[in-house]
Amino acid sequence: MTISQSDYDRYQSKVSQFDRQNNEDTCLLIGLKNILDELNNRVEDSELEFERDDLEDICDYYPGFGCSAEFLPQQLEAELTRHNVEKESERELDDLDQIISSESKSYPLVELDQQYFEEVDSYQVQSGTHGRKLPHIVIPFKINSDRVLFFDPYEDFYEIGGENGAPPKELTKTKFFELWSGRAEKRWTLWIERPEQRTLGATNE
Amino acid sequence: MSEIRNGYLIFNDPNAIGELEYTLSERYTRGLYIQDHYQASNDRIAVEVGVAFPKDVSDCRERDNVIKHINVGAVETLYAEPTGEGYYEIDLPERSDLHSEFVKQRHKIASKLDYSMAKAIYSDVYQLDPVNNQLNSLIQIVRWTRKESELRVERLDGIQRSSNTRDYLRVLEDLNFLRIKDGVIYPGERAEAADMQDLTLDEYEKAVVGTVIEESYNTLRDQLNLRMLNHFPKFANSYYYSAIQKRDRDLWLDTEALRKNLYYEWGDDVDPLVLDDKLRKLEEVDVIRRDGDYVTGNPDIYDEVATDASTQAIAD
Repeated sequence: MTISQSDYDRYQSKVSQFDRQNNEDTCLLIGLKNILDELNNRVEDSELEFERDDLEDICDYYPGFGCSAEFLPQQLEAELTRHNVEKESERELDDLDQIISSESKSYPLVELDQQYFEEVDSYQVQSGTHGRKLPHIVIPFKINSDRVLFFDPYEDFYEIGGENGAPPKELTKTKFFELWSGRAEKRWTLWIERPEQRTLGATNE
Repeated sequence: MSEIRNGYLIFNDPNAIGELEYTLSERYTRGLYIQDHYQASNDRIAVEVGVAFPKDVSDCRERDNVIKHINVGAVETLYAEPTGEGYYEIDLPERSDLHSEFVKQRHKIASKLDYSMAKAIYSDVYQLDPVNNQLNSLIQIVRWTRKESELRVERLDGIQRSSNTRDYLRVLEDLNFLRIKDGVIYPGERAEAADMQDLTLDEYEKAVVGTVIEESYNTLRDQLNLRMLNHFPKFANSYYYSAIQKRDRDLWLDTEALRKNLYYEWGDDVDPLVLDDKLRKLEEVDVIRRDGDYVTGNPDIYDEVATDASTQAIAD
C-alpha cells in the first residue's frame, strides 16, 4: 500500500495549522505545542490548550540551550487531569503506527539520530569542531508497508511566507527505524493520550 | 546500565559512552555530548561534558538554508566515583548550573572573537569619535611623550586631572614604550626602536595604540574600563561571527540576523536604529559593506580574523 493522495492532503491540512518553529532550538517545544493543538482540535478538550510561555516552563526551556526531555512527561502530566503523557524508548514501527492511528492519542514526537540530516536536501546541517550535531525532533503522520511520512519542523523554518507549505518528508521504513530506534543510541517517542474509558461491566469484573 | 537516581548518575560500564551521553542529554539538553573521558585520581573517571547548539547561518540573499551546530566545547567536568559495588556514581550538577556554564562559554567565545576583531580593525575604528574620546588620555600620553623626551608625571597629572593617567603610564611602561625614573618620563626601548623607523607623529601614535590594544586589550577593557575598545568589534562581529562559523567570506546577512547574534552571543538587546547607526560608522571605514538591509564583510578583515580565530580555537 502506497501513501495515498488523501494521506498527503490530510498531512497538509493538519500541518497548515501548526505553529511555525521560530528559533533553531525549539523543535521539541513547538512540536509539543503542535501535537497538543492537533489533539485538541480532534477531541475538543480545553486542558490541552497551552500558551507558549507555559510550555517553555514545562519543557524547562532555556534559549540556546533547549529543553529537558527527562522531566517533560511528569511536568506536563501535572497540568492534565484527563490525559496521560507517555514517553518510551525502544518501540517498534507497528507501535508507532498504532499511536498515529488512534483517535484518542496525539501524533507522536519522535527523536531521530543526528545522521538524519544526511538524508535532507532542502537544508544543510554543518557540525562544529567536535563533529557533533543534535538529534532532531519530527512528527510521523503515516506509516505504510514501506515508507514513513513525517513532518520535519526545519522544512517550514526555512519556508518563506505565512502558511506552512513545505512538502512532507518521507523515508523508507528501514531508514526511519535505523535513525529512530535501531542504532546504538536509543531514541525516545512521546505522545499524549486519553486513557480508554472502562465500561461498567469491565469495572465490575 | 545507566540511570539517574536521587541526583546521581549510576552506571556500571565506563566505556558505554553513548549510553551515558544519552542519559545526560535527556536531563540537560539534546545538545549535550561527552567530549572526553579519562582516568582521574583516586580511581575516579573524569567525564568532560560539551554542549552544541543549532544556529541558522544561512545567507539571507542566497537563502541556502544552513544550520550550524556550534560546539562550544567542554563546559563542565563531571567525576564518576567508584562505589566499590561494581558501579560508578556521578553527583550531577543542577541543570541551571550547567546552563550558566554554557552561557559563560558562549560569551567567552564572543569575547575572544572581539579581541581578534579589535586587533584587525583598531586602525580603522579608533579614529571614530566614541572610541577616540575614550582613548583620548592614552593617545595624549603617547603623543606628548614622543614630543618631549623628558616629561614630568606631575605635569601630565595637572593637564589630564584623571586617576587613569597613572594607569595608562603603567601600561605603557609595562610595554616598554616609556620608562619612569624619579617622576620623569623617558622614551622606552620600543619608542627608541620606532625612532629608527623614522615614523611621523601620527604614524607613531597609530603604531603604539595598535600595539597597546594588541598586547593589553583585556587590561584596558576590564581594568581600565575602556569599554569602547570592544564596542565596534562587537558590532562588527555581529556579522563576522556567523561568517566565520560558516567559513563563508561572501556571506550576506540581514540586520535581524545581526541583532539575533548580539542578543544570543553578547546578551545585548540592541534597538534596530542603534544597530543601523553603528553599522553606518563601520561601513564608513570599510569594516563591513552594506546593500540595503543586507550586510557583508570586507574579505581582508574576514581573512585576518578567521586566521586568528582558528589559532585560538574559537571558530566553533
